[in-house]
Amino acid sequence: MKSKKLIIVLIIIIILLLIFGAAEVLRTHRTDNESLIKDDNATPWNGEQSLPRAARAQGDVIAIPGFDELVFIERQKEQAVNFYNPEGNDCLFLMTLFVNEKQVWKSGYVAPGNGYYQIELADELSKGQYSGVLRIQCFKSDGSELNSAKVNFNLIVIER
Amino acid sequence: MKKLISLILATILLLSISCVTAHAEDSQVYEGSASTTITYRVQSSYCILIPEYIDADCGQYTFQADYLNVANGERVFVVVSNVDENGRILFTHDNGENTLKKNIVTSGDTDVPQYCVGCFYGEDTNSKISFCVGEENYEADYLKAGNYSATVEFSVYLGN
Repeated sequence: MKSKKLIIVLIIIIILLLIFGAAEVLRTHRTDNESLIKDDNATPWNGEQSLPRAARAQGDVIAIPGFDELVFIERQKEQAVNFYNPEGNDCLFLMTLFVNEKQVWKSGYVAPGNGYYQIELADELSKGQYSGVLRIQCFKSDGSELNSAKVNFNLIVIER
Repeated sequence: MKKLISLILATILLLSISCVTAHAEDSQVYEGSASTTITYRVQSSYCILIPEYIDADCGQYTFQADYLNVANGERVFVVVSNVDENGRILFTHDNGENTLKKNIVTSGDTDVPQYCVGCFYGEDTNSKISFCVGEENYEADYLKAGNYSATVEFSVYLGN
């Protein structure tokens, strides 16, 4: 009976020793982690910053011819112009002429190296000075739209 | 009656002679030869090269002119005309669905109109200012990976 009690006490002591041993191992492991040195160069994270980008090659260019003045003849629809799509371009021009912001003429799709020497206005103009705009819309042959331009100029309508 | 007609004719004759004298004052007569000044104006003209489209990753754009023939004191301005009220242009993803807006950032000559991205004068066919699109994205619903590009309408005009 006495030896039974002794065995039970020994088992309890062993279990307690195991528990204390496991607790010591865990404590030691935690201490090792806390001993790692943190990098002071790291800063608080506030979301991504914008990084330098490798620039891609710029695409092709479109030649847009411009002028400062155009002279029309009064009271006639047929007018002489030099509206064209320069030879080296790789796109089609769709040109629209505005006089004082009112559309008076529109072209079809003009291929490079082609243009107009004579146009027919929607309305006759009377003598005077006007604000002229030639809007040039540019398209690839597949129909995709490219950048466009508005050429601003003085329009002078003189007597016949 | 005959006397009256003679008097009128004589008066007309006298007036004609005095008119001829008045025109002669415009010319300089020297040892039997005369000289006068004839003026002839050559209109300003130019051909600006614009990019086919604006790529958000293409870095700095510097416009060039194919040719430039402008009078002294005149400048050719290239201005972006389809910016929104905050000076931003719309970029569209290659998929045609996702969009974002970016600012136009210019550098160089400051004495230019708002949203001016190109300025030419003299005989230099390189623009005196350059531009790029800003790093910041605006009104982007979701930044889908891929290429974004914009079609821009440039307004081109001569000014001082």
